[in-house]
Amino acid sequence: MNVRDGLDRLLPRLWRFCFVLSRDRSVADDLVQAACLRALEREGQFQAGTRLDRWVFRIAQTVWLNQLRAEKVRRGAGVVPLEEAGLVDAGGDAESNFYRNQVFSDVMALPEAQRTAVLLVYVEGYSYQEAAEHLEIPIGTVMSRLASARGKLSVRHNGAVAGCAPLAKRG
Amino acid sequence: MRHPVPITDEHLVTWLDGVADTARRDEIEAALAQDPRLGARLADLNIDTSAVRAAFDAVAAAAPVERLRARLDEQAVRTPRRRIGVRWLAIAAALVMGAALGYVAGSSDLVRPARSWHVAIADYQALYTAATLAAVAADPAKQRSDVDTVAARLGLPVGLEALQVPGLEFKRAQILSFKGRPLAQFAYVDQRGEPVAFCATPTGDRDSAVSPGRFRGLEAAFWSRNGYGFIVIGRTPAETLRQAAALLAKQI
Repeated sequence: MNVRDGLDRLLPRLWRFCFVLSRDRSVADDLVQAACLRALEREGQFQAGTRLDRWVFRIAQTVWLNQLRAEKVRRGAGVVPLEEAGLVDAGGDAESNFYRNQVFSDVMALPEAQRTAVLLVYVEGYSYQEAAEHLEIPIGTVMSRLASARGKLSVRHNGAVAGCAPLAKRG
Repeated sequence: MRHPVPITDEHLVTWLDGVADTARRDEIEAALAQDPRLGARLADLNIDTSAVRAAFDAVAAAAPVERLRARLDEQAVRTPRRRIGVRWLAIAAALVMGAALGYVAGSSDLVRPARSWHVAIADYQALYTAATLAAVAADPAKQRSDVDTVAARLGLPVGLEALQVPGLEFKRAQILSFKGRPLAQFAYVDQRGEPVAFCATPTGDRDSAVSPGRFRGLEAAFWSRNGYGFIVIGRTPAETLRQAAALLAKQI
């Protein structure tokens, strides 16, 4: 599999990652484009047998930090509800859509460092260690960002839609 | 109550995520059994991570994949030129080897990135001129039977009536193939005699609304429905193509 074909399959998840970073659809589009361009230019640096998605996400993160974030902050960033972002999935009943929108809005309202950690670990399935390497931070910092994020999401869920699953003891 | 080792929120998160090591897990569970305040702290950190995943799966599903793919195609075509230094060595080596072995045909794969069907159509359509279709006489009976044949090969119910677009004159239907899949091409000319193509092929992509695009310098409007991708493309003004696409999307 070459990088070009791999990128094609990666587009939905890459765009999601970029949207979570930027909270802006058009910035996410630009970020995906910039990350893909850089990945194609550096195709020779990609090690066959390693995960293309992790490599490209890392590139997108770097582009975001070095180029696009400052610009986005200058332009002002608001929290975009799922409906306004046009991201509502038509499937599912009204109640589950409402709940899903609520969860989405709550996560997107987190500070960037926390929502990125949540996306990587709880959506993309990164281990703490992998997230730490991606973000170039100590593993303990990943854990504390997740703890802070969980604290905020839990309070809101308990207060808003009781999204907190009953606490089950793990064996 | 005091714990021998203070249990932090980070420890509780590892427990909730099921990644605490055995010693830590036992420690936390023993402490939970003794200290109700620790249980309250744990409850404050508990979230439904499967709900988070579901919400963000919906975000990935709503990504503007067609638009991103179109941009990626344009980039993939341009990028090799920027890397000419490295590429050139590969190309030169391939040519030398090809010549030495007596064949050169396969070497172009080294420099040609994968194309999407949009770009493949643009490459094909770019070869059309006003003269290409000028000699094609409109014969409704033949048009109808050709459209039926193409529709059957494509597996999509398209009739001659559904292909009528004000301002565009329908010329002919033909079946092509892209990566082994049928690709229908319906050829039109606009009021200036410029060729316009309306194409359809099974892609398996999610439904997407009509979006404008530009491939190989041609204006285009493309969309997806029911696992088929559609595109209207030509040297015709973008707005005319958008209107044609909107109408065809409604009629088919």
